[in-house]
Amino acid sequence: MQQSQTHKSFFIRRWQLTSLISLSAVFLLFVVFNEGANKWFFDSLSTLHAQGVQALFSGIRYGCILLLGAIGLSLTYKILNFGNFAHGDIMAAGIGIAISLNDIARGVITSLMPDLDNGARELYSLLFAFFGTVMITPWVSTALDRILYKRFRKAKPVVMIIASFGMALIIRSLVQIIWGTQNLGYGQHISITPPVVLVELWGREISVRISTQDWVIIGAAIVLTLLLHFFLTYSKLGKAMRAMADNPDLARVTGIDTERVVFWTWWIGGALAAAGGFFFCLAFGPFRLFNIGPQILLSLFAATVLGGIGSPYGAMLGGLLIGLAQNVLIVFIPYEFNPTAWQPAISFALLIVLLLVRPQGILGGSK
Amino acid sequence: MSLLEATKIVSGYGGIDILHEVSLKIEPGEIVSIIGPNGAGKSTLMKSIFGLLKPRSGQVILNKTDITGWSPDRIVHQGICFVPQTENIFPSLTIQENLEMGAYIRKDNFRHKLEEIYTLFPDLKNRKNTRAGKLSGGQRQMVAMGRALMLEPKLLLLDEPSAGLAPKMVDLIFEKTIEANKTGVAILMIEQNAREALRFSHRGYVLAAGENRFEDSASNILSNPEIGRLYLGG
Repeated sequence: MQQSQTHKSFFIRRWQLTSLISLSAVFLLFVVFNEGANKWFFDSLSTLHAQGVQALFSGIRYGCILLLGAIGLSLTYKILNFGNFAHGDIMAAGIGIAISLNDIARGVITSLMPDLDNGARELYSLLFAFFGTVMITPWVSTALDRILYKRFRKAKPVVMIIASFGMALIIRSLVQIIWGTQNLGYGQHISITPPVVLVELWGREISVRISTQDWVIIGAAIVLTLLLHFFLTYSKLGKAMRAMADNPDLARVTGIDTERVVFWTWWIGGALAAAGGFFFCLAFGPFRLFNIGPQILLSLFAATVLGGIGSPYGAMLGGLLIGLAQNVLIVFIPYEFNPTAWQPAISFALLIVLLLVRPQGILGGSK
Repeated sequence: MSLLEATKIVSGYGGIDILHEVSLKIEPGEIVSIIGPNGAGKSTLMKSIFGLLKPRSGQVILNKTDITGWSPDRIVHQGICFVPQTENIFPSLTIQENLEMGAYIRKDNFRHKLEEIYTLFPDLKNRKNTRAGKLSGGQRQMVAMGRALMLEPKLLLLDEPSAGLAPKMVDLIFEKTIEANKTGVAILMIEQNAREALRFSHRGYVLAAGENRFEDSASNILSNPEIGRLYLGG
């Protein structure tokens, strides 16, 4: 303990730094002297040059979606001390609610204002669906807490995890019952012809495709995270949430209504999950809803753990990093190996490497 | 009429009784110290009064209200605040936020009370935006006391406020305890520094092996040679 503390540099320990440097040296030697590796490396660099900006942008967009989901996971972890495996499926339920609301709204708008063009009609119904799902989905997550998790408040974390895993399966089946197994989505009618931004970079033209949806997703993620930040920093309930995360026993002794805090933690986590799910479907839909939960849950956990489990700001950073890693690092995988199939593997490789160096995550406390 | 009256408390953890019919009384505005060797049941008594432990039998009466077996968050509403011995602050919150949490259940504007606390602990005012986790032991103790005083309780329970502090800090914490008492709050405290604590207490209880051993005015306890030899270290 004493030993490792004295040798700790800014971020990592000295032996870790040494091994990192020697590994990179071996890698460099390999690239310089092995012809195949050399070709791969420069091919990748050339792809990175051509697609890097685009990949960066896609990474940020996907990161924004992930961080919205990861915040909820992190908040409930911090307050209740367990990883909620049902969070991905809450997101899927949020998407389902948004799809239904969108259909209802489009029907109503069509009958009330028949002259509206397709784009405007879709825009209005999507706005309705977004705010609707952000207001309705939280009641799903608070209901989970009331029905199941509340009975396990004093149980060990592993019991909670198994319980939440069961809950995830139940929600998944409910989603399948309600929304079926066909591909569902929305947003096909609003303009997706992307404006092309041209940048002159190192004597080469770089084009980036950024659709309206992308701007909306990134903007909304920024607004929502800022709202959460101000809520946690300045509101009485937000401060109580942080107090309870610090020391639940002391919070109770101080007179803080801890059950109320728990309720709003689930509510906020559910609302952000719904927002994240809505944008996930806007960017990547249509898809089969019941598949979404397990698919996104792994990335959410990777993001939460990478950023430092229990830290909402860590979850934001982790979400962004995982999103970026999945989109930027695949540029290095040769085309014949099907790069997109490697996306989840890349995020977990990144996670494993980071956890070896810094087990508490990037922004995690030493607790 | 006593402020708080605990009668014949039997309490403990699991199946084992630690307190065997312990009784204790606090008058409004008093400082009362509980002293006694380790394992005498001092903390158990305090936890039983505050509802952190449910007494197996006996009664706790606060201002004519029977609060036996109530949960701590209900008891807080009745005007008792508790400062645990350890982990008594919220480390990632700032000093100011810690104090605000103390006033969580207050519905009125508590600005004036905040100013009062800062007058009592001027050190805290200068660093009010510092995270409490970065403070020294003595400063943490001040934050913890300040937090508890935010509710203007009738009774403040202090579990070993001087534990682990440097001698200078111990004196300061005791000074602040007296100052807080002068504003009208009654104080019940457990202290290892029994002699110093009794010097400014009004009354004292000596607990040993989960039973009332002795109870008198603080000055009488201090001058009792047998108590001095057995419980005050000569």
